[in-house]
Amino acid sequence: MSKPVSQSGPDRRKFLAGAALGGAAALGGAAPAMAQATPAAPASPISSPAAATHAAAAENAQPNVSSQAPPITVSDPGSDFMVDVLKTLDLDYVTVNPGGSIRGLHESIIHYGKNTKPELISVMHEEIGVAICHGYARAANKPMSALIYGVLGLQHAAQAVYNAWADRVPIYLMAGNVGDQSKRFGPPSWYHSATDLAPLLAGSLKWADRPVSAPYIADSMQYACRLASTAPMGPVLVTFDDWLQENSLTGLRDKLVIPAYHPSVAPVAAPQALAEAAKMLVAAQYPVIVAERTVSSQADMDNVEKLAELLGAPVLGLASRICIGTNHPLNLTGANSSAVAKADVFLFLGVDDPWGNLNSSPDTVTRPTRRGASATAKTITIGIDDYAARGNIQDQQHAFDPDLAIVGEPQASLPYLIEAVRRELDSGSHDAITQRAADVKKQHDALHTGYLQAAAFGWDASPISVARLVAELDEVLAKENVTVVTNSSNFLSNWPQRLWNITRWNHFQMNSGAGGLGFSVPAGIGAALATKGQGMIPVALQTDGDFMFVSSSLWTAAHHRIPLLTVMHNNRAYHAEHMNIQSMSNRRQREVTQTDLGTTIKDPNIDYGMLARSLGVWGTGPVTDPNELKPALQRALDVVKGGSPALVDVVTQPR
Amino acid sequence: MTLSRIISLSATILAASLLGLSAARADDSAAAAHGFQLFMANNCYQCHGTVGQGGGNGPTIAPPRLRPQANFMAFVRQPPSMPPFTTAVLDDNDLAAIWTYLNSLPAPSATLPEPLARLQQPAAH
Repeated sequence: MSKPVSQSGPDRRKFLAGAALGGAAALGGAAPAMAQATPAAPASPISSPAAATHAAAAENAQPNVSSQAPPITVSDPGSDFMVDVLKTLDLDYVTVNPGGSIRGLHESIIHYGKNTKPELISVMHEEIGVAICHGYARAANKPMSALIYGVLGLQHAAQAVYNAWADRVPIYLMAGNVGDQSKRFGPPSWYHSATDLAPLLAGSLKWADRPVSAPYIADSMQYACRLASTAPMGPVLVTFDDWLQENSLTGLRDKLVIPAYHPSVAPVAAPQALAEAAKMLVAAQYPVIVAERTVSSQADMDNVEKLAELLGAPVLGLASRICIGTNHPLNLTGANSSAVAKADVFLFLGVDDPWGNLNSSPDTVTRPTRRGASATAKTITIGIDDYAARGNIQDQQHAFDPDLAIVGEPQASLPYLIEAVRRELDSGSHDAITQRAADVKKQHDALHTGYLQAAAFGWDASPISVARLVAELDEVLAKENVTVVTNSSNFLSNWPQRLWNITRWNHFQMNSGAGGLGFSVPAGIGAALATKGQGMIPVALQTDGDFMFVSSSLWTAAHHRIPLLTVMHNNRAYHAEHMNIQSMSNRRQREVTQTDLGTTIKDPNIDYGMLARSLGVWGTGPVTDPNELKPALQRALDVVKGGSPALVDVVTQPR
Repeated sequence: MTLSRIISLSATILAASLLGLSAARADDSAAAAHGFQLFMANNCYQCHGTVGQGGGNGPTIAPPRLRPQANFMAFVRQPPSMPPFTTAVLDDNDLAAIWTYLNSLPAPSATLPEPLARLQQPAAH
């Protein structure tokens, strides 16, 4: 692969310096095209069919050498105009793995767009590129873009796109395609093109479009960005034919208008529905709040805590977001089954699977369903996912009919629910709420104490206990402002939420969405890009199986000087799958000593420190002595604070 | 690590013999070492950790949280949710050896290690 033309990777010294980013393009108001169009022959009328567009563009191209010979140069290529539109969308970065059908736009971003807003981030696999966008979107609350090469690139990207869809995060995908059959070069061009690229990502896209004429480019690109960013958020795809990218718009360019771009306002739940919810919650004997996709800013987390405090209600957290401080006295995450059993009213905030919180289906031979909640408990849901339901891929999870289903973005609706609860409360409620809160606090404190005591078991074990890894990492990072990304906290036995004092919404970003592997390091890179200049230390708490899907993402971190601290939770296995085979063997009463076949990552063991160094990242390990862990983490942190990425390979217990 | 643990336990047994400790004590150590091998070979450690410390998939089964032997063995034969170890997979002698290994493990110190002690703070709200 050739070197990037611009060595303008994010400035390492500015990454952690706390300096505000400058030069953000102002939004609002029509954006003029960057280049002046050259007057030329009258433009042909632009019509929808691609063939007509291509023919018109070809006719309008300015032959620079001779009016008789075919043109050998092009001015005002269509992809320059695409860059003009991109600059109205507040997209800071675009990941790319190069390919023929995106070469026009790729080149325009470099030279015409000066590689800023968006700036290219070079990746070695499209799955990495999209996972970077995913981590960025979680941290920045806005989309990042991935530029993807046609059929091949989209198929590589598919799993990461599905993760993003399931996690309801905005991603702005742009793909190239050689749509005009008469302009394909040969076999690769045919293999790598499609009549329509969007079906390759079926089930994972919120919207897709393929503008076939220049006047529609801006409308299509802006609408895509607005849809991606409107709850329920999700990935969108805009496909550009290479012909539209590469041919001249001379004579047409000055007639193209880029409208003002206006993101949507978040949808708030209906006031009368929130008032009804408030009545039910205030009247409840033991209201329980279950919160999941509800927090994307500090204000959101503050609002969840405020609502819980008003009601004296316990809050149960789930797998994808930290919605309440881990040391908040009303946080009963971890005591879910006992709280669920006591509840008479549930408020589900942005919860993917309310049914799964009221019932359980244990992984046993018969998988019986057991209801854990009272049969008379009332349920309220506030969420936006009814607008994201699809029929095939089952990300909407168990069908569920609540007593009060409120459609609205939880984040946007919470301030109004809080006000509705305040109006509903009267002086007679105070004592009961205070007593309930005190009872919940006792349970919370007992949970916290229990977690600390549990973490002490196996403290000096080798392989290193996951609890110790998590605790030592917190110790080393105690004075830093960190954002930690991991694909699944379950793989860490939830030790971060159990042990860390998490008070910031973006302290710990867990969950890849759909559970697809290949997430943590690239998502950590995305988080690093999103928090650049904010003085934060980005950390990828990385499991080994997940890492090996996207190990070359370390090269991206090195190449762009992204100071990401990667900490390997290296249990040398796909542990969950190892357990699955074990479970099958036990049930069938067969030999259980060979369940490592096909489920472990050993013989040879992977030396992740060496792998990191080979990709240009400071690396150390494998650390097997628990007493060597803290010094190794400290050395790596020093490297990161110096502006470079670092990796510590820690050989760990399975969970 | 399995190997190093086995070597360590074997060294303990050897040391016990050299020091002239009772034969019964050496037998206990040998049984514990045998139990450890079985604990690892049967993948008990995958959910419970190599020293029974527990994790997301399995509870702590090290002292003082280890059940009494009879209770432990009955549970493993008929567990409500964990994979069942019937006698076709693991006979009673081997299961008893596993319990002996677990029972030989030291309980954690009453004082929390430093990083955990720092986290032992009252709720921040």
